[in-house]
Parts: sequence; C-alpha cells; structure tokens
Amino acid sequence: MIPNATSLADLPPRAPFALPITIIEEAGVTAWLVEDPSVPVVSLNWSWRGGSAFDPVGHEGMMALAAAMLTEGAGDLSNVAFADAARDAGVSINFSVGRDATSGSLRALSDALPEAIRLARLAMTEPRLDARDIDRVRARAIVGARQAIETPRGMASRAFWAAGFPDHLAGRTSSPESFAAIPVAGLTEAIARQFRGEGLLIAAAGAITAAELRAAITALFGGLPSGAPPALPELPALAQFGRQVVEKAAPQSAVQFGQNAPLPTDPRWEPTQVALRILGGGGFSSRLMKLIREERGLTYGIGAGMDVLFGRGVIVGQASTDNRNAADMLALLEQSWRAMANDGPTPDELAEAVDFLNGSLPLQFSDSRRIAAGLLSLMQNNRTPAWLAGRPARLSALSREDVARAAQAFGETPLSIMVAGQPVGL
Amino acid sequence: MRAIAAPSMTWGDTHHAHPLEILAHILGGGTGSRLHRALVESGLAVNASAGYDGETAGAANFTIYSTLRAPTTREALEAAIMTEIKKLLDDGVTEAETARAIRQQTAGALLALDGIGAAPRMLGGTLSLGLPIEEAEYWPARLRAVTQAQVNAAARAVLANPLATTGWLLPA
Repeated sequence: MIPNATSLADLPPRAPFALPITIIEEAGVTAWLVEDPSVPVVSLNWSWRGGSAFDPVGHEGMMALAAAMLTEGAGDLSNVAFADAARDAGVSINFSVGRDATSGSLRALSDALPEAIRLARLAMTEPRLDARDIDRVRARAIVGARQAIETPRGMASRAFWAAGFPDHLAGRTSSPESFAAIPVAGLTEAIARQFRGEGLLIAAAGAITAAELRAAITALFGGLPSGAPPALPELPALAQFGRQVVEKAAPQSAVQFGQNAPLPTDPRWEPTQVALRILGGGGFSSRLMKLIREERGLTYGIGAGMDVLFGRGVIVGQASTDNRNAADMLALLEQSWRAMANDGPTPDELAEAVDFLNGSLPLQFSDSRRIAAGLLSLMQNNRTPAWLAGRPARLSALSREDVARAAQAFGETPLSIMVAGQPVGL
Repeated sequence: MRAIAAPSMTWGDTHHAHPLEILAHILGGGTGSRLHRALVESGLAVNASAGYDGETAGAANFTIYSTLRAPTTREALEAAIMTEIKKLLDDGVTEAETARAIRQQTAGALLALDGIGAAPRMLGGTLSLGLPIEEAEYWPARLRAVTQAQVNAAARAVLANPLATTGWLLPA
C-alpha cells in the first residue's frame, strides 16, 4: 500500500547525505571507491589531463578521433569482433575527449568485469587503427562536425569559445576541415601522449572491494607506458568581447554568454553557485526564466551555470529567441544580471536554492555510473571526500550577505555575449 | 528515415512483438548488424540502424535510419537498403544471427537493477499499457524463447508492409 502523503509532515524525515568514500593508492595512482555490494554491477571511470588541448593547430579533433578509434578494433579483434565481445558480455566501454581531459569508463555485471577489463586494456594498449576503419570513423566525425555548425546554437558556441579564448587551446574547435586534415600518424602520437600509466585519476563504484579494485587497476593500466601526459597551459581570463554577432540565415537567434567565475578553490565558489542557481539554474523557477519566458514570452529556455576548464571557473549561459526579439531579450538578461550583482538574492530565494542544492545532492549519486562519474569530477577539481561530506552544512550556513557579496562580481565586468542568427537591432 | 507500421504488444498480431525486437537487432542493431555491414562498412553511409519498440499503446513503428556518406546518392542508399530487406525476406535470418541477437539483447538485463530509476520505469511502462507485470519481469526469458522461424515470420509480416513512409532531412 502506498502511504497517503498529503503533507510534508507525513513523509519520513530526510536522512542526512552520506557517501562513504575509500581512498586507494595503487601503482602510483589514486582511486576513490564507493563500495556497494547490494547490486552485482561495477562502474569504473578514469581520466587524464589533456583531451583536445594537445591537438595541433589545423588538426583540431585529433584526440577525439583517436579516442573514437580505440573501440573500433584492438589486438586480434576486428571492430565487429570487439563490439561483439563487449555486447555478448553486456559490457559498455566508452572513451570521451573534453577540452582539457580524456576519460574512459566501463560498466559491467560483476561476472563480466574481467572481460570488461580485458577489452578496455586492449583498447588502450593495442588499438588496431586499420586504415579502412579510420576512414569510416573520420567520415562520421566530419558529418558530425558539419551538423554541429549548421545550427545557430553550434555557430554561437564555436564563436563564443574562439572570441573568449583567442590565444589559447580552449578557443579552438574541431571542424569538417580539421578532421579531414588529421594525418594517420597523428592518431598514434595522440594516443601515446594521452594514455599513460601516471597522472591518472580513477573512481569506482558498485560491487567491488578495495582489494579487487587494486587488482583491477593493475590489470587495466599495467600495460601503459610510464610517465604522465604533459602539463596543460594555464587558462587566461575569459576575454571581454562585448556583444558579437555571427550571421546565420535562421529564424531564431542562438545566444551564448559568459563571464569569469571564481577559482574552484576560492571561498566564493559555493555562494556564486547559489547565486547562479537563483539567477539562471535549471527548471522554470530561475529569475531569468520567470522574467524572460513566463512574463515576456521571449524564449523557451534561458539558463547559466559554472564550468571548470583547465582548473579555472567560467560562467557559461545559453538562450535562444526570435530574431526580432534578440535586442529585448539581451537587455533583460543584462538587467537581471546587474540586479543580482547590486542587490543579491532575497531570503526566500536563498532558502529555496540551498534546499534544492542540498536536496538534490543525493540524486547525483543514485547509481554506480553516476557515483563513479561524480567522484571523478570531484577528483578533477581537487576536492576531498571531506569537502563533499561538508557541503550540505556549508551551504546551509550561507547568509544572504555571503551570496550577495559573491554576486557582486557579476557586475564587475560586462557579460561577453555571442549571438548567431539574424538578430534585429544589435 | 523509413518507418513501417508494425504490430506492438497491444495491437495487431502481438505475437510478432518479441521477434521484431530480435529482427531490429539483426538488421540494424549497431556494429555487426546487416545494415551496418552493407551501408557503413561498405562506405555508402556514415551510420545505419533499425529500431523497434513493441511496448506501445496501439500500432508500433519499425524504423530504419541512415545518414548517407558523400558521394552516395539518396537513390543509391535507398536501393542498398531495399536490397538488404529483399535478401532478408528471400533467405531469412540464420540461426546464428538469432542466437547472437538474443544473447546481446539480454546480456545486460540485470544492469536495470543499477540505480533506482530503471526498474520502476519498466514496471510502470508495462502496467500503464494494461499488460501484466510478468511481461517486464520475464522479459529476458521471453526474448530467449524467440525462434528463427518466428523472426522470419515477423519479418515477412512487417518488412513487406506497404504502409511505409520515408523521410529525408536535406541541407538547407
């Protein structure tokens, strides 16, 4: 029988958030583990600094293409044999490439974990890189890149990063031309530079003990060359490029906007997160959604959040609107941004945002894949298990003044705004 | 994208539903499938897949999806797809293909226990269609019981259906 919960008082009290993390040092690498034997599933996520940051100029997308080739045949397994082996065992293995990191992940039933490890190791140490397969995967990447820049959203994003970081690797994006230009030898170099036995961050969750994880780490990464990937160049501050427009024949204008954020180590990081949740967080309750969507009907969606790139915080937001309304929408965006900088949140807004952030925290750790991915991203931001455990109490202790003080930074520099489309009046 | 009207677990010849899941895997379930080999490995297309979800109220769709690779023409891609379908209707699927599809479709069934979302979603989806809860609970066993002959019968019932629509998204 489902209890008839008609008021909050009928609900059981919310259990305090707890995620017991074990830290393991093995073969010179650090791994975080959340062991949960209740379901026979294991997820492993790992990453190195790097990603597309090392792509040579003109060959943007090289690391992404190389990573896509790892699961297209390895050792004596053809691409079909590799895919069959993984799917016969119900194993998923993925490699993905970001702006500043390359990561791998696997998920398997406990019985199939040895097979998952065998395949993932083979992929990282003996990818076949057959010319025919490179040709096929390259063609797919070219089509994907072309589709990405066919939309105003894709164009706005591409132009935003290029204008925001004009002299840094973070400003470069792959294109159909750059994918076409990547030499085959470059793929081997990219793999050798990235997939190393050191500089690894590893996170594991599910039905795996500390001893089993140690053995898995040796089995998975033991065959990789020693040393870590090269250090990444520091990211400069996001350029203040004002408002810029890329012409794109389309009925809607896509907008990407941004601003510098505090460093993840800055005590203003969390109050800034709260201010951004209130101003432009997900769902329909943010100030930007209420004002620009609900009251003025100028957009279906507008939002902003914080990202960490090359160890630095960046605020990035997106919106889209009818070309005729672009100027109105941007005026309201800038007005809302200034209002938060000048006055901060109301006490009710603060209470609601903290309640949301604390209440939804456990939902980020609700299955083995999310736990492993969540742990890995904490590790990438140099957090500790104690930082995670203390987060609900820190957020609850924030005063309206703490958040208002952090939000003052929103007014210190103008937003950098990139619009793609045919906006009227900009 | 081509969509063909097909029976579901609630509409038409419902006994075709599970065999159609197996058929979709054989025809276009990723690397190693017939369409992947004929269209992607051959260089005609950048991707190719077939899809079917029988857990639907009313008629279901059996879909075939592909993105062509220059300089392939639309006509050539459609002709290559029709060749594969004709081959499948003429010669049928093999016992090995059926076994492989069943193995791969059911291999990760227990993964649904990972997390709090998947199991309630499956049960709710089944119950909301008016199907008995056993459909979700014994889905792996029912899929494993599908035979080569049933897959071929389902293929003849659906792939030869004239109620098919093909749509192309072209560059602006």
